[in-house]
Amino acid sequence: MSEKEKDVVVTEKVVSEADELPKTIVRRVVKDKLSQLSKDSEVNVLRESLQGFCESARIFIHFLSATDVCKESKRQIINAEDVFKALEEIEFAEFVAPLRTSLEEFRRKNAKRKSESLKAKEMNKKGKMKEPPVTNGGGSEEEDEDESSEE
Amino acid sequence: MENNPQQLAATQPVAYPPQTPYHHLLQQQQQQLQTFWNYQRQEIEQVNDFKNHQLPLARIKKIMKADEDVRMISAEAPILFAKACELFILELTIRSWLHAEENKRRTLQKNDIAAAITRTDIFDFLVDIVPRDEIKDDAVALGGIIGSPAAASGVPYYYPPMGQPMMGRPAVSGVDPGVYMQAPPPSQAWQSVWQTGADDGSYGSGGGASSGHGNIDGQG
Repeated sequence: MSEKEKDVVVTEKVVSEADELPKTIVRRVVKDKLSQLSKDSEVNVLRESLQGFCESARIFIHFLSATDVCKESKRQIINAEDVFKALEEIEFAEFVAPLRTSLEEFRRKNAKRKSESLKAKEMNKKGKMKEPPVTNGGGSEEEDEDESSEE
Repeated sequence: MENNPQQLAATQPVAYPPQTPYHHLLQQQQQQLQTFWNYQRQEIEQVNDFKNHQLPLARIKKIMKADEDVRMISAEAPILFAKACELFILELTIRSWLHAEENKRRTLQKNDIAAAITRTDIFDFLVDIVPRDEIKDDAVALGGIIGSPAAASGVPYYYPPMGQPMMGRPAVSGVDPGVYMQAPPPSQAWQSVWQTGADDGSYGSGGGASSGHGNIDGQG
């Protein structure tokens, strides 16, 4: 019995589901692209194939994380530029351009969101000032997160 | 597009061991590729919507942190990782699909993924995922003819029947414009999308790659 178990382990590493990327999302990415590639007919994805995609993506993350870009610059926190450098190191440099675009988009949206929430808070404060201050102690400030770094 | 088959026929030297069935396949593949390169370009040029396909950041962080050397991660890093992951999955999907197409299948099997991994140099880190026996690839048999892919620069990945792991670079930028596409190659437009600014030449700057495909080269 134990020999059989050994045989199973050799070909497939078993990773708990919690450590994998969600299958539904990966499946959506794959199926959307497939429907683009094959407009006339639907391409199916076997369950084990989907597993292959999930697993590959997970290893990709490991592989990308493993690059020592941070150590070289003696920084503790992996930032955006580190990620770009790492991508170049593992020879996925062609990802960098679209990722930069995404990043700018994200930063823009973020900035917008922040300014909007700031406005909302100011409106709130103005409203509250008319009433006798009952609850204060910076109740509106706690939502302000420091977005620049995070562990 | 009508130019291409003719030009292909004209530029396909006989010096190469006669590959008639593959020639046919190549034309087919090329047409398919041109079609979806166009789609790819459109996709990239669209504004990237973060809501689409957003892989869960917490999960990604967790996976990243499985590596002990990874300490602190900025808020933006997981987002980039998520997007990079998505792009990676797309790459893998395209290549796997190509293999399925070659074998006239409408179902992606594990051996398609295996073939995609084998054929692409930069996917070497994935080589352990799929057992070797999954790789049923005619190209492997032909591998001996081509020899070492080490010098591959402009050799496009979609000629696997002739020269399997010759893709030093992913399809998106590995195409030598001079080689097969005479019309403004989607790959060139592609390159300008992927690589904003100067081509850093890390993709074996254009022609002249005298790899096993030397005889096809020189279309300049």
